[in-house]
Formats: sequence, C-alpha cells, structure tokens
Amino acid sequence: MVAMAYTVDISSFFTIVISMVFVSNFVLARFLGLCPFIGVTNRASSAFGMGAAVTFVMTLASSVSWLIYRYMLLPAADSGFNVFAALAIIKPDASLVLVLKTVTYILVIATLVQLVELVMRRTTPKLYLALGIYLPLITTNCAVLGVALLNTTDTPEVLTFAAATLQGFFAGVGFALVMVLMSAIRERLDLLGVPEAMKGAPIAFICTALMALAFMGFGGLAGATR
Amino acid sequence: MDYGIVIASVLALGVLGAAFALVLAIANARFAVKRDPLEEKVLAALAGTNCGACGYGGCAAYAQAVAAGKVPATACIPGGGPAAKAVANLVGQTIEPREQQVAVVHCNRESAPSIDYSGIGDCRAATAIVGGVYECRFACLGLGTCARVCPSGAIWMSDKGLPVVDEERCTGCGICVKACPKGIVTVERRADEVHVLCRSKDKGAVAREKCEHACIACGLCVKACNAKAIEIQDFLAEIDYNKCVSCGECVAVCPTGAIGDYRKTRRRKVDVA
Repeated sequence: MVAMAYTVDISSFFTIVISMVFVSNFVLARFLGLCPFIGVTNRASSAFGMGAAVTFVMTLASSVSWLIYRYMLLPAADSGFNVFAALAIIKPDASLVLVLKTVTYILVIATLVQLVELVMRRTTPKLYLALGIYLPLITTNCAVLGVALLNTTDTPEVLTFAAATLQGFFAGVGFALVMVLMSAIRERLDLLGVPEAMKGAPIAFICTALMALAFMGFGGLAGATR
Repeated sequence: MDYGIVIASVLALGVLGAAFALVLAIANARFAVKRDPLEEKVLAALAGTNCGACGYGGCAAYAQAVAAGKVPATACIPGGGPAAKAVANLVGQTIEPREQQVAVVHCNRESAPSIDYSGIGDCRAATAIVGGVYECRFACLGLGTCARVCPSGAIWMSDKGLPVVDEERCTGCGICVKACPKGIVTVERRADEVHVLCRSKDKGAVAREKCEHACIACGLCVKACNAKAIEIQDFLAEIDYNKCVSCGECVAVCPTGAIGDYRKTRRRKVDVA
C-alpha cells in the first residue's frame, strides 16, 4: 500500500495526460488562471515564458502539497502516517484538512515561487529578466492553487504521489498550450479591423469562448474526466 | 471545547512557515546575486510601478541598464522630471533639452505592384501573408499602418501611397517605427535634412530593375560627400547623422534620386494639400 502510493501505471498516465491537457484544460474547461491568460497572451514569446514558469511551479506545488496533505493534514487512519499523531502532539481528525488545506497550499506556492525566483536569478538571469513581473504573479495564479486542491480532493479516486505530480505537470502543459494558441490568435487579431468597442479583452474573451467550445469536443476522447 | 485543532493549526503553519523561511534564507545566501550598489540607489529613485514604459521588463531591469551607463536617465515616465534628475545625478549624466525629433520615411518607390493585393488593409498583415506587394520587396506597402497608429495624426498617405510626415505635429514618439513591418520609418533629428530614401539591399542592377528610385550602390554619393558621412553597406548607402552636415552634395550626384533633400520636399500638411 505504501509503495503503491508513489507509482502510477501506464493507463492512468495517459488518462492524466489527455484529461489535463485537453478534456479538463485548466483555462478552457475549469476557467482557472484567466488573469494571466488574458494579460500575458499579447505576444507569443511572453505567453510561452509564462506557460513554462506556471508549469514548473504547478509541478512542484503538486508534489509538495500532496506530501503535506497526506502526512500532515490527513488523519493517520486514512493515510497510515500523520506527523502530529506520530509525535503524539494531538490526534488530528478530518476537520484539520478543511481548516488548513488552502492556507498551507498558498504558503507552499508562495515559497516555491520565491525559491524559483532566487535560483533563476542566479542560474538563468536571461530567463529571469524575460519573465520579469510575471514570475511573482504566479503566486496569486488561481490555476496553481486549483491544481493543488484538485490533487488532494481524493475524488473520484485517491491519487498517488506520482499521479499528483504528473497531474500538476500536465495541467501546466495544458495551460501553456492554450496560452501559446491564444497568443497566436491575438497577434493576428491585432491586425484586423476589430470594432473599437470590441478591441482587446472583449474580442479575446469571445475567442476564448469559441476555443472552449472546440475543446469540449475532447470530452468524448477519454470518457474519464478528473 | 476541543482545542486540538487550534494547536494543530498553529503548529502546522508555524512549523511550515519556519521551515520555508529557513529554506528561503539558505537559498538567498546560497544564490545571492551581487548587485551594483549604484543599481539599488537608482532603483530607489525610480517610480517603482514596474509599468514598463521605459521599454524594460520592470524597474530593476531599467535600473541595471542605467547603472551600466548604457541608456539615458530620462526614461522613467511615471517618475517624470524629479526621477530623471535624481537618476542623472546618481549616474553622473547631464540632462540636456532634447532636439526635436521626427519620423523619416526611407522609401520613395517608383516600383510596379507585383500582385493585386486585396487582403486586410494593414501592412503587417500583408507582410505576414505575402511579404510585399511591390516588385521591390523592401518597398513601402502603402497600406497606411503608420498613419493609423500615429497618435498625433502627423502622418498621411500621399497620392503615390507613400507616408508623408507632418513635422509640426510629429513628436518623434517612434510608434510608427515599431508598427512598420519593413523597417522603413526611423526617428531622426529634425535638423538633419538629407536622407537616403531607399531601404533596398538588392544588388544595384536588380534594385534598379525593380524601382526607378532605388539605391544602386554606385558610390557617387560617398565620393561627393564632404563630411565623409556616407558608407555603402549591403548595396545601400547609409548616412551617419553624427557626421552629416546636410550640405546636399550627395543629392545632386545621385543618379536615381534615392537620396532626398527635405529642404525641398519637407512640409506640413497645408503646404502639400
């Protein structure tokens, strides 16, 4: 049981890929992360940079939040180990999850973003400068919190550590994909004679809605939406 | 009442927070980037809104560039005059009143259309789709994108479909320069009167075949120039405006009329209309 908690088999791997990138795409099916989606899709280069940064943070946030959820928040009866119970401090019950989930995840995400920023500034200053203000903005990107929360709802099934991490990564890939697609559309939209009142965000949202409709077509692909 | 959950919450967040703080502190020490102290002073003098109006990806990036001495101290728009003065003092620059700058259109094409373009009336769209609509692939497309983006209404299209700049209205903001997909528009000092009105990098014979007013890289202007301000690069004459005295000798010798003297043609909308 404990060993199983860290692996993922091939069929659920593909289910994760298809559902995260296409069927339950974070932007087009869950409507999360719309702020950077509209804000950073003016140019393909910045859209790609933002997508990559979000993917990175989502992956890390998924694995760290999974560990915290499993071994700090869940009662020992559910997960087999709880750090509070093990240290005999208190015997946490299920309410601890409700109280602490969101706030600890935000803590994790904020720390990760800070950490990534520190490391990137030293190791890849070019990329750091290219991402500029977008990097700290990921802290408040609801898609990142969304993936951490969805990974730990335990419905419809309990995710393994590997499954949670992969789910985070591919949620980020799906986000990046839609960002790049949208930036390509918007670079062309800029050149068209869009009526004054529709310029910018309004026409972008209409395009987003049409893209979301198109992505609904993927719903028939997997039959398994998470 | 059960205080377990309160204790657990305080413990969990306290321990996690402390652990993360420790990790960040270690990372900060381990991955510390040595910054120029001047850079930090400059950063403090800026408006700090990260608006990007200076053309950099945030105040820190601009501060770095200024501290390195690469760019003028006056680019912080929200900071305005006070910020510019403070920054200039820090980096030892002096702020001089700027000479008036105007947009210059470097094309005077007399070229036949290569296709009958009826797509979106925007130079950027046309460039993305077909590359160009005249025989000369460097030529102005004449679809008027620069005129439309100009916030001052200083550009209008002539009968030939070439942009003309009203230099009374032009503020030299450079928005048209960014909009032009052919790189035909540049911003120059208004005091400079003589400009190469061609951007063709084709070889002389090819360029001549495609456009009557093309620069054919014959080199007569280079010889005629008293100030040694003209060089031929990639089959195209280029004027070094730091040396040019706008004497007009090159205009007289150019066999194709690829160099223009704005003293004769320069003008405001009222003059032309």
